[in-house]
Amino acid sequence: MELLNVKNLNKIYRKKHQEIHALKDVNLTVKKGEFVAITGESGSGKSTLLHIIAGLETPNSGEVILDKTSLFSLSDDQLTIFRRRQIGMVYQFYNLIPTLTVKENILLPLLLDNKEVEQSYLNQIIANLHIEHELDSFPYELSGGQQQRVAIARALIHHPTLVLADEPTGNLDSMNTKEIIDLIKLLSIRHDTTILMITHDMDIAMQADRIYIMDEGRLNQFEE
Amino acid sequence: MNILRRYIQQTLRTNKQRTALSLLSLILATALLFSVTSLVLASYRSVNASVVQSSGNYHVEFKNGTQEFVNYLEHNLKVESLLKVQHLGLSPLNDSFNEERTYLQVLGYSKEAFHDLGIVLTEGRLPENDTECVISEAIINEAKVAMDLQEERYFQLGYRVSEENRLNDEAPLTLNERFVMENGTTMKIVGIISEPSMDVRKPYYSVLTLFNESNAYPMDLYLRYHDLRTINETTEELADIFADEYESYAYNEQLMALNIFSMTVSVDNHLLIFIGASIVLFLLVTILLVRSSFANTYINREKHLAILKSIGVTERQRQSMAFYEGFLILSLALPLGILLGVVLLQTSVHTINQLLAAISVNAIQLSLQHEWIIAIGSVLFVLVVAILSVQHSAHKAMKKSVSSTLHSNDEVHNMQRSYLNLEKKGNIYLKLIGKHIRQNFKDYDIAFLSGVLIMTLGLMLSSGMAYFRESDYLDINEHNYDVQVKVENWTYPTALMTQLKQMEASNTVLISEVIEAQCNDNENILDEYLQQYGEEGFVSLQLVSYDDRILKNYIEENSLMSRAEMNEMLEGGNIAILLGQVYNSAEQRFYDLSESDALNGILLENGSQLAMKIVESDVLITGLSSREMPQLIISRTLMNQLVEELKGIRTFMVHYQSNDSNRLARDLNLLVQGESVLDYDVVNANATLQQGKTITTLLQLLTYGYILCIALMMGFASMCAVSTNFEYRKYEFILYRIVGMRMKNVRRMLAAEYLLYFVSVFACALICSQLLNMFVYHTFFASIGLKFFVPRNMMLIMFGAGILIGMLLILFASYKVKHFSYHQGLKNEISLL
Repeated sequence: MELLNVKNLNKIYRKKHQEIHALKDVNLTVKKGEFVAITGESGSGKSTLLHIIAGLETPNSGEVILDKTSLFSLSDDQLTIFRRRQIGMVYQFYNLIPTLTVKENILLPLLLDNKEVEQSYLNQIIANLHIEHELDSFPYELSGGQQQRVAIARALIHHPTLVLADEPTGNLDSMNTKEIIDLIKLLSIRHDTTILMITHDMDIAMQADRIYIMDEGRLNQFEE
Repeated sequence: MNILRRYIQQTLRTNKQRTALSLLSLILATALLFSVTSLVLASYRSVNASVVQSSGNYHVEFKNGTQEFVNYLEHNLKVESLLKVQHLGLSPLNDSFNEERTYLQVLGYSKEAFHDLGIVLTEGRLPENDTECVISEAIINEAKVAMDLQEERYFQLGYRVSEENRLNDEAPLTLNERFVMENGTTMKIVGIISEPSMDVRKPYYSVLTLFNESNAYPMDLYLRYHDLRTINETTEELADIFADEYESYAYNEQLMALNIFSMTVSVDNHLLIFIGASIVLFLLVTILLVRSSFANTYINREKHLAILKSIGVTERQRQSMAFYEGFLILSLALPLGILLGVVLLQTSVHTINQLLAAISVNAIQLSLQHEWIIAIGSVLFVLVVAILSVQHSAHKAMKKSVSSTLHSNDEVHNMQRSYLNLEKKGNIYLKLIGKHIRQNFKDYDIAFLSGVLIMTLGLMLSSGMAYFRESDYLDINEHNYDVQVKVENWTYPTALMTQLKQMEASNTVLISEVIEAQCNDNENILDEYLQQYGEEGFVSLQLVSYDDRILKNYIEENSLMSRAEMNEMLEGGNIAILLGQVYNSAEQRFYDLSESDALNGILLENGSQLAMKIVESDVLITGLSSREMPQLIISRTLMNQLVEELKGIRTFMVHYQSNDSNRLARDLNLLVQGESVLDYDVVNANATLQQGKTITTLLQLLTYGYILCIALMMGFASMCAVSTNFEYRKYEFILYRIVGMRMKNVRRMLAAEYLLYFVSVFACALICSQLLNMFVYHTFFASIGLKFFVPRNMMLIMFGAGILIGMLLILFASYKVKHFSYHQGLKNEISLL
């Protein structure tokens, strides 16, 4: 079943007198439960695509349909609520709120939606991610690997239909990288979550169901 | 180029907004320091020159002093200078075009007196001996009498008499007066002078010659002391020792008021504290502005410095970096600051002069002088504060542990506990607001301080202005009169009063009458008052009446009695309003006459007794009532009955409104007063007000300007702090947005946060300003019986302005959050952290 459909996406940035065509007619389809990786060189437009799919930035043209909802036909408020309920985000630099504890960071999407915390689900996630002893710590007291686990927990706590991961292992050593990727895969299978991951590491990308390569704003499927 | 210098240059170039803010702060600090100091100095000099011009450069005048007194004063070490003026006599000016001024007053001035009594030579030269003279230009322009330079002219010298009584030289002309000649002198006119301000509204014009010690004319002595602080003691000592060697003495209060040293030492000290505090506040605000601009720059750069430290930058290199940065910014800011200061100064002087000129043609005009010593002083002050600030900020940033700085977030200050308290139920947004307030309140201390300071100053200014308005005895605006006649007598001066009431070309606006009485109602008079002011069991009081219109307004405005009681009073009933407090300035407290609702045993001068029902009040009628003696305000009807009974009145006052107050005052002065009149006084309020109005306006402009400068500097300092803190806050809001916070809630959180800060600032400002208000009121204004003033309107305006500013800030902040560039910004912010 088709979950995400990106059609003819174009994005142009204007910098001084220069125009940068970050995305050129990008088309992408992701099925429910799929693990898709997008790889490419730095500056090729991977993160831009991710931000547009998350509804954080708007394209110059094109359409993003997630779970039968066209994102850019929604108002800013509707889009925000949609993101809060349907999307989970994991960044390379974690993007945890520095002044909140680990537990508060994880629960924030639920709290903002006034939803009850599903204690068993929370316990399950933090146990899987091995952060059960760090719940009262602040992000700056954790290692990079631990912070990324917290970010993953936050991305999954509200049962999103799509998790967007922007180079989630880019800041980690090989040991942590492997653990994190295994965890993402495991959790996506267990919770039937679709994952769209950006990485420039081909070895990591190879673990996905499908791989796309972004090259100067154009997206092409990788054929082995 | 040194790599660290390149780093500084690059950082300044990259952080354009921050660099611009630092530059603007320093430019503003330098410009305001230079222009405000220059403006205050220019104002002081101009007012001083104007006062010297109008009242002379002396402290005390001894009228008609003897030669023996002069000999003593010339050798007294406390006396800085002695000016001597001989009265040679009046001389008739028969062909004068102005019928109100038909004399010349011939005076002999010592050389110093020509300089220090405000004489301005417009043509020719000053006299070199007593056969030469200078004449007032008004003789030619106003009296239209032809007198030429180098002309030798004979002057009859003598005095005026009326009904065989010698008249004062300054007394207005009367119909039946004549001139008595004593002697005469021939003098050569060698110069023309501007009309001395002392001649205005006198019946003569001045002719001045050089003082000749061999002449035995009456002599006025004008003294300047070395030490103004002992002016009272020294003058009284001189007055006592040489009691027989002069006629009377008077202080030059205008000049002394300008030099802050008024007649009361306690007022001196308070005024000095007030001025000192204003200067200190201004310098502190300048320091705060300079410091905050650098402090915030370095807060933004803590991570950079930690990295530099980690790769081995030494303390010496750090110092050199800080100096270099200071040098780069200051080398631009200081010249631009002085340039802006010059422009500000010129604009302010021009604007102030235009405003003053619009008030009066004879208004003070500020002379624009660029004092380079002030420019150098301002530059040095800002330079020293800036260098110390940049060093201190850099030192503070470098002192932090490298690992903790690089690893932590700048917003997490010693935070050891969670804030959202997940165990407790509650609105998440309220919890987040609480978290922000607790975490960030300290970071906004400059903004908080600025807000409190600006609001306190504004509220204080409002109260201060209200007190000055109230303390103006002849309150022309409130009562709409410009000339007042006060007649004191024992009988009822029917003829004079009829004339006063029927003065043509004028509009009588208010008549007030006073009769004096005594009271021995010991049951109802408080013992304390009786002990303090009683004489042989009696206390003195006044029965006062005003127009019914005034009385009615007074009763209604202050809700003093019911409508029925008021009607009874207006119809002549024995009901009075007691202003029963007397201020004792020695003890600095009020004494109450009575707390009773009746006062019996009120004895009038004819021996009759009155019993009155009393309504107490301590609200004065501005310009009419006072606290020198208890007053019973009665109705006009009752007063008429009492006057009829007494066949006399103590004081009778009439207030007029006129198109030509000078003419009306002169006409009133020319009225035949009659024998029963003890004292007859005409006060031209318009002229009095006009004289002081330009100085008052100048003071108001300077005060408003001062507060505006403080507000501007504190506003800038706040902006530096708020913009730095908002960079972090913005990032946090962006993170909230990523996990799904709606813009509506972002705005609500911002609004709630602002409201909380604003309410705290407003509350603090109210408390501070009202404490100050109470201090100022009890120190300066309670003694003259003014009401305590709460500036309600200003409070409302400030509250409204605060809410408006808040709305604009919230709109700006939410715009920045909503239009954040995730593509570029998020990565930059993350790398900064």
